[in-house]
Amino acid sequence: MILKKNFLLTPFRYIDGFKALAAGLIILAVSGLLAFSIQFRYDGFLDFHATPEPDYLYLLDPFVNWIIFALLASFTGLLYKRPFRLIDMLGMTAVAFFPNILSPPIAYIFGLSGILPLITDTPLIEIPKVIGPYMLQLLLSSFLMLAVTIWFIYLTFQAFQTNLNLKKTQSIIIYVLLLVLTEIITVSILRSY
Amino acid sequence: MKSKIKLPVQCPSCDEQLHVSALSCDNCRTSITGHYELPPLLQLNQEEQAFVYHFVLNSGSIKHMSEQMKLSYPTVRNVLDAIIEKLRKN
Repeated sequence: MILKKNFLLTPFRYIDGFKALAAGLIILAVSGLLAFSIQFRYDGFLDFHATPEPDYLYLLDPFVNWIIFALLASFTGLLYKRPFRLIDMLGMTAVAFFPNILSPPIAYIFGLSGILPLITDTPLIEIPKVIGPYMLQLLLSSFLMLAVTIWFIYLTFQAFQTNLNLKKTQSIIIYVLLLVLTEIITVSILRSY
Repeated sequence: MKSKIKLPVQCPSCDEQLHVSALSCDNCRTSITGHYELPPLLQLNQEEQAFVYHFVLNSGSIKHMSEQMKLSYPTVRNVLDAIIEKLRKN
């Protein structure tokens, strides 16, 4: 019952309904725009890759990732007969994408749009030689990207758990399955265009 | 709920549930001793009792409770679910 205030890790204790949905839609739009501006795209729920020829369609990527996750989470709620409001599920899961706003600035600061194509275009055996000069940049950016991803996963789990209030172990298992399913579906949709 | 003296529901030594063993009348000073179970609602802690009290005053509206507590609707519903589960166990 003691609810400590922590907006970074548990924002869903305080925001709900239309306010959360409005904030979430802005977050999704901004993350898509930032990624597009540095020639990256969110081509999967847990993916953030450089794209040499950006298409305006890629601006929709965050929205596709969000709606697939939100719908699957809502379907889980219906399956387990949990009394949740769709507006809260949509809003909170959208707000959970907030950490994704940080990925484009990290990629930009560390010059990843120049380094990553080098790696993908190089034969496997020559990669260590090619990435040698960029090792520190790659290590630091990977560390920050990992932190962002962990925060993103944590927030999506919080949104899922706050809405459905399943038992702890049960919710973790179902969430992991949901994550895998969302990744498979979003990758297959987003990489088809 | 305005009383500043809190009714202890758990033993401060071993955390077990306390029982009522003495009651008295303020008017005639009659005292009764015995071994009475606390009613389920009184077995809740102070925070939970306050929640139930305000929930009833808000006509059982989770929406009004969330506005009053400045917490999200699902969070208030989850607090309510936890109290329901505790009452069922009691």
